Amino acid sequence: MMRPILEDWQDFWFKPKPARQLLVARTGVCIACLLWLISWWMELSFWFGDNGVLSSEVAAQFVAYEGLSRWQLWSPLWWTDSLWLFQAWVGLGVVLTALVAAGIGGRFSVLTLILCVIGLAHRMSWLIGPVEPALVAFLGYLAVKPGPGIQESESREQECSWAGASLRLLQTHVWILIAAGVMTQLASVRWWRGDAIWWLAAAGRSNLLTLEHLVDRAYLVNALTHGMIVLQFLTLWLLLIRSTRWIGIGLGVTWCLVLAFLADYALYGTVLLGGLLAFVPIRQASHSASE
Amino acid sequence: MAKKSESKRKDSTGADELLVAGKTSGRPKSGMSWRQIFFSCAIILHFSTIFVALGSNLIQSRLQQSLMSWLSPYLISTAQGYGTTPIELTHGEDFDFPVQLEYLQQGAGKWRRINSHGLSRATQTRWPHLMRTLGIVMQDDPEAEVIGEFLFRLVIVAESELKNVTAVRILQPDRLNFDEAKIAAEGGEELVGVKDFVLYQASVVRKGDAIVGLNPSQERYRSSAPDKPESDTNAGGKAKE
Repeated sequence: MMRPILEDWQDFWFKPKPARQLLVARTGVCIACLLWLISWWMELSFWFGDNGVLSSEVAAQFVAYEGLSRWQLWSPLWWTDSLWLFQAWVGLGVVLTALVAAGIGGRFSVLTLILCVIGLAHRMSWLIGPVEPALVAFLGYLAVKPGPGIQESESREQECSWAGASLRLLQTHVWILIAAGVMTQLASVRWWRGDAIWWLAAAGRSNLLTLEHLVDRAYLVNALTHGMIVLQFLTLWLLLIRSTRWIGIGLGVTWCLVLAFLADYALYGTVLLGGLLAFVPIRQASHSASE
Repeated sequence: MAKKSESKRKDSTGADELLVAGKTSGRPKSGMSWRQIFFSCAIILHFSTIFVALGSNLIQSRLQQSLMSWLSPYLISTAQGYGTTPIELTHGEDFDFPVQLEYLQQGAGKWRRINSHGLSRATQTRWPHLMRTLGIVMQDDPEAEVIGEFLFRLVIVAESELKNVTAVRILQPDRLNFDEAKIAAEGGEELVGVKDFVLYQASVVRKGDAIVGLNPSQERYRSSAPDKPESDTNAGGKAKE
């Protein structure tokens, strides 16, 4: 009885996959990481530094209020309020992201980038949103098997069980995030009643929609709200079926766009999109070439 | 040709080659290496913690609270804690609406809103997110010292650019639902900011030119009657000495 389960488990997590497939997902995650770092670069002086809103003293108060141990939020960025350190940190992150995207430095580059991202995320304190956990997790999965460098054309074609594991981890996490989102949405009557998009706009959290746009359009409000739920369920379902995976990816991309433009989660949408690229099926070219 | 490419592959993959199931390693398909067994255990533990973290995002049962306290070192130190992050996007509850911060300058009769200086819309979400968290804290504990500390810092930062800030306040936006908004729109009324009420207000205490603290002042400064219980709106922050 256990044997088929173990075989299926091994087949699911460790089935060899071409490293080239990892290259696509890695590029997507790195682009998302780069955008995240650039977004910080633009706002560093507002939040941090001697004249920043989130001085280390204020951020430490936030942490103390939550009752968290300081060691859990480890980061060298707690040591000083000097703006140059933050700039150097983000600059280092950008360089490391470029290295990881190019496949230079292997696991060392990926792990250093993870430390860099976590260091900044821990210092952000209450600014942490859905972007940071997803980004750190995705980078962590790339550390399992970073994949080939951009110039290593031969190793791109090789199948490797760790490349398969890395892709499976990315796929599973993306799937869980979408599933968790739709499940928690359906915990509220707003989503069942079809006016959740109204409340998103009312909170000033929609890039495209304003209350003035929606106030005379009840059907639009209902259609968008119900459509968002249907879109997520369809994405989750179709991603699981091999023959419909491309449609699932397309719907997943649409969901990322919805997150970015309707729900004001542009960076989260980008990170999710990067992870979604792990579903892109790529056929191995070497078999046909060698045959 | 195929043999040549296969032998080349064996040379270049090294240790990973051993982990390729079935054909190339010569192992039975069901046999997992120790690395794979260890990795499988790590997968189960990791996704279990993620599952608990995401499942505890809305409301926590006692079991979830207990589990989260155990898992917190792993989740927080690896930035996997979801805390109050609204993964549901919105539930239309009070805490889903970011509170608004406003300041008053000497000689100016009008309150002005403080916003993030972000250049792009994408990055501006950080400010509303912080204001949403601040709103949750105020609902949870209106007299939390951290509120006064944060506002004090904000006033000092604002003073460097704006000069002569005399007071600061936190507004709880009270939004209209769809039906109320439709009636308001038909009557030509504003849809936003009509029933906002003051959660917290403090005047800036100065010693010479230097700002030394905030002096909270609540009820008499309310801009409109709150439609919430007194305990919810009786905010307070400690003045910084």
